[in-house]
Amino acid sequence: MSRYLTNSLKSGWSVSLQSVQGASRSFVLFVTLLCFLATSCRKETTETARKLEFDAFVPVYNRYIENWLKTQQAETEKEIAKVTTDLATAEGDAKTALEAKAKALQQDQEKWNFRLGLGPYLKFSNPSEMPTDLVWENGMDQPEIGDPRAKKGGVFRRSIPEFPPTLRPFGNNSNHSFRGDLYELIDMKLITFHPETMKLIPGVAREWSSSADKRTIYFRLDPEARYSDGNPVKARDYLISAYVRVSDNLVNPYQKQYFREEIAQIAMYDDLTLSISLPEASVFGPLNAGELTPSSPVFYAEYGPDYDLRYQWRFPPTTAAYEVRPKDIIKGVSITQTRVKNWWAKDRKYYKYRFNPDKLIHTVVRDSNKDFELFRASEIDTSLVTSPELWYEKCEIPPVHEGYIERATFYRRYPRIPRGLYLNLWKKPLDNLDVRIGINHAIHWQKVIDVIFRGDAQRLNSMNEGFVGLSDPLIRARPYSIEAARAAFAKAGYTIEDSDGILKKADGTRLSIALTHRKEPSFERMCSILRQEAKACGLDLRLDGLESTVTYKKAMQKQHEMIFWGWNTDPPVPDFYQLMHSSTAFDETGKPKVDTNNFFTWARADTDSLSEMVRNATTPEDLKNAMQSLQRIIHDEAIFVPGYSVDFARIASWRWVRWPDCEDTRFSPPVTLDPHEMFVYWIDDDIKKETLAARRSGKTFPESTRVFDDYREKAPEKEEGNEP
Amino acid sequence: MRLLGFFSLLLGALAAFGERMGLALPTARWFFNVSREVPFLKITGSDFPWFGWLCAALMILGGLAMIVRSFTSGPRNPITARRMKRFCEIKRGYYSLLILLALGGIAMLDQALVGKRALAVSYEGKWIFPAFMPRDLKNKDFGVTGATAEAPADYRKLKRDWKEAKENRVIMPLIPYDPTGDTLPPRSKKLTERDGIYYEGSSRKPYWGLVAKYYDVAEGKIQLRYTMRKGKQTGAADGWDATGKPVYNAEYQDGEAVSERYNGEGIKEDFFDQETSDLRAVKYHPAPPIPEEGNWLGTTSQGYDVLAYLYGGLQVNFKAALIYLPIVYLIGITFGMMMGYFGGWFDLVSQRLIEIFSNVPFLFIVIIFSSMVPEKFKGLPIILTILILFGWMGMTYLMRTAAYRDKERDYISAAKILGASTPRILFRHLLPNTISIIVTLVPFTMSGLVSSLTSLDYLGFGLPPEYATWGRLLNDGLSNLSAPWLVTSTFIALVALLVIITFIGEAVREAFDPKKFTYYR
Repeated sequence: MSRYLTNSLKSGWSVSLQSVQGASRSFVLFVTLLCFLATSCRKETTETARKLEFDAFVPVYNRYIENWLKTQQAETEKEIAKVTTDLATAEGDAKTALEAKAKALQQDQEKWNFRLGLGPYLKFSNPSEMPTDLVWENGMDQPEIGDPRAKKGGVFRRSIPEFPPTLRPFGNNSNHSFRGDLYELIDMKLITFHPETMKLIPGVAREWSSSADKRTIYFRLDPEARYSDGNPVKARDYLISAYVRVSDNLVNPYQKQYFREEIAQIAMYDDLTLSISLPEASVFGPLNAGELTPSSPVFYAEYGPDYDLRYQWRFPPTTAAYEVRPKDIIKGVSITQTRVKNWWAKDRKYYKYRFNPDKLIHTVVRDSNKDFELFRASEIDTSLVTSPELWYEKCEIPPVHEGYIERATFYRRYPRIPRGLYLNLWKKPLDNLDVRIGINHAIHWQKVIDVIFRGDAQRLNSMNEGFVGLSDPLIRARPYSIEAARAAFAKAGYTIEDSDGILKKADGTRLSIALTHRKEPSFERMCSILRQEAKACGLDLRLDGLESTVTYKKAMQKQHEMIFWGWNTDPPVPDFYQLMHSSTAFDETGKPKVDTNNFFTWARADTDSLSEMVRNATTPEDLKNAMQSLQRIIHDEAIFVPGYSVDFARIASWRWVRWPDCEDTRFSPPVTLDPHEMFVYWIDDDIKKETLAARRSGKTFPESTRVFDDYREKAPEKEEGNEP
Repeated sequence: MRLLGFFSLLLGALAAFGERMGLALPTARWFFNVSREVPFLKITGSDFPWFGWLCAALMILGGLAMIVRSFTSGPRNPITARRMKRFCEIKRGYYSLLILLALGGIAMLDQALVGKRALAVSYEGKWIFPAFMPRDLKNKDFGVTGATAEAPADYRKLKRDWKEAKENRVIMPLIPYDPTGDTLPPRSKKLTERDGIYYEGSSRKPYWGLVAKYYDVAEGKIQLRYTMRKGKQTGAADGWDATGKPVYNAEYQDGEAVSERYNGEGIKEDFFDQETSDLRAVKYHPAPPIPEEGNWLGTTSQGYDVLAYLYGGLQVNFKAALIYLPIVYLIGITFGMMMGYFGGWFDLVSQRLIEIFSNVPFLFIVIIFSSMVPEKFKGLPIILTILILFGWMGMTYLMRTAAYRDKERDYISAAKILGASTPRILFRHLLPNTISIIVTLVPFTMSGLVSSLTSLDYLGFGLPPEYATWGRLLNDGLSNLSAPWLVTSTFIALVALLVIITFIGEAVREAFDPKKFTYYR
């Protein structure tokens, strides 16, 4: 367990330290304290003058990281010694488990050694230190994104459910639902992936290159990259970006952990060249390293211990297309984003047809029903109407029939959210494979899809389905089958039928499993259907509907038997480690480990190495194999009952909101949950005038309901080109 | 009195008889079912339902005692007789009581009136009565083979299948749907075609919405689904093969296909030539009232029949009232009378206790409870316990004042001098003299209970989803305002019940009023 101790030096640079357990490590802590006392930072920081203080921070933080690495190294060393002695006496399964553990520890040790060998964490270097044999890539061979007909200008109006508590990109309360619109969705990263081909494309970096060991990625910044305040972007700004996030001027545990553990080094060579090293090489290394965004030293000139309050409502200069001007923040009511004048990337290949409207107005509408009514009254320009009620009933209104509102169904290619039932193997009788297989056959998702989703959703087939080029398309979820379920239950010993039709064992144990779910009307409806259909198979599902935080807590405590859940997915690659690795399954006493995402309480040596492989694979082939093996194991062991997935988005928009329809982009690039997030739409003011005039005069247009199914998954057994 | 006793005796005897003979009789089965379902009401291990037997025995003995007493207790108290007469004269209250009793009778019919299990099945020359059997029969018992053989018998399907073959018969209850746990396939409604344009039923306006051709109308298995505008197919169309795999997409304009794509087995023409139903209007849940499908009041968004669901809700309300009222009154009356009769410290302390209780925010307690209670115990008992915990305070103050007033009266002193014990004085002397307070209060407590159950369910902290509750239906209706049949039918049912109870309450109050003419007249 790790917890953070804050160095309590009164006025020194106090730096987060990982907690130190055991007497031997308190010595290290003592040494660290001495180090801090010995530095001259004390004198500097007693001043309250407003300065960035970056230069003073660098040596302190570098030393902190070095000490932390040494501690980790010593600890791993000790564990290796322990495992080696245990290994000498172990036999059978325990031996394989220990061998796998020893291997993982060796890998860890290698990681610490590599990082210690790199030198300072934040490094000011010079071009002569760069390798000379680098092969630079620029990713300019990918198709364009968006429609060349897109017009710049106009105002796009939409609603948000709540007003953000702050505009800061990090720090207290910054993880709110609006931060995506402000930052993640529009940010210019160093490099990013193309939302259709999944290949790397440039962002702020014009070129990039990987070192021979694939752990260090070098970036050359675009010389024209500018912040919205007109200042050029420099390599040093990326080091500052790390500084403002990890310093003890703010409470920011997750990002502090991220910078400490997921990044090995950030180095600059000249104003336009930098490198980012990762602790381990992986297929998507360049993408992970390229996630960083710069922070303007001009803006953070007043950075200090009161950062949280001082910067609460200041929007930092951005390299992205939209900025928030101070006068556009109407607290509690609305926020307006304005397109940056002469945005530096406006003519860049992958950005020139995107981010089209001049202004994006986000108005707070707390009630989702009111949101649709506002859309109907044309106070809002588009509405996401994926749900069947909205699509089939609420959209049957005159503006749709008269062609003022146009509708589209867009099939996307986004990884399927692994929504379904997670079985906790710690609870009896779920430790029995036959019972689990029986449950998989006894859960009637198809009926849920037919009744609740009106046949529009699809059956999910496996955990982490839909990662393009990675997921195993051949795994099919077990269908609802009374016969198969009963056969499996009989194999597990449930042969006698109780008076209410529920199966029991000869000793009277009833086949009764609690299904924990969030107490929401729609989930309650689905689970009631599952319960009713499971009964026909002799399985008693006890519905355990709980308030959502209680549900989460119950699963985190591993108190659930079966839980209806869905994890967020994030392309390009899923993570199995937190769901299946043995380190997340049991604690030292052999009890299920609390506060981990391993809802299966699953632990096995081979899945440990496979899930590590998914994290650290260096070739796409290894990654694919490891991932497919894990998917296959999850299916074979029947620990997850795949639920349903919706692989399209349905959008209703007023006529003047235009969506791409050209060779490169049909409606939207496919790798997105919500096509709005790609910013490829535009506002056509001429059509707006025409439509408004037509509404006044009563002129109508033909109704428009389009389907964009270019990325719809085809039935796997059928060949293409078989159309009549 | 005699009638009540007879009724109680009958119910108890039926319950015991049903249990011995392995029959599930309407309402009478309930004691034993509760006893089996609630863990602490049966002897663990042997599964002996002691609570059921206890209830049956109590009903029989109580009923017998009542009948015997009605013969031995001599002529009726003239005051009571006069009150009864006055009550019967107040027609509004009297008829409301009759309606309420009739509703109670209907609610007691239980699975004989509402349920998915057949009342009687004649199969291969033998008559079977599935609704009254404690164990579900299976499809295979009626000669069904294949994937659903092991599933509980689907009598509605059997009835449809046997319609042509005359030798087997199925008699279903009047409403052949269970209140809960009986999600119906999506519904559909007949369309009529006139001059190439489709109309819904006898409507004069061309149909707008989804239409489909079905492989199986009752099971909701769709072959082709179109969008219809002005009575003609316009817009996207989808097709599925008999296994449910999507095989066909098309775009229609004014009834003609503009573009189409078929990627199933064989050729497209064969797909179209399959035997299917005519075009029908697709009515997904919540479906509007469709008498031809047997859903007189439509369906809920869960796919339950609204009429059956309302009936289930009515049963829950009556059940809750039958448990809640006696307990709350027993506690409230005893406590209130003791407070008034003893006075002094006991009175002071009890008053403070009641003040504390009444100041605890009830809703918070319910929310906390509902997240704390393990799912095994969730259900009517726990909700009633909470309601009882916070429901007994109301009448204590009334009883306290009544006891305070009466304890100085001569008849109490006389009883004391004669050496009567305190409980005897309280329950044999004091209680009958305050009966008018209690009787007047009963109907209002009942309406209060119905509204609090409804509001708790509306807020989502009430009964688990296996219970049919009006509150949940109301919630469903308000989140689906485009399905007005949900909210109107619930609203009417709820208001009607509360109005009836209030009318009875008013009439009782008036009949028991010592002053014949009151300001209310």
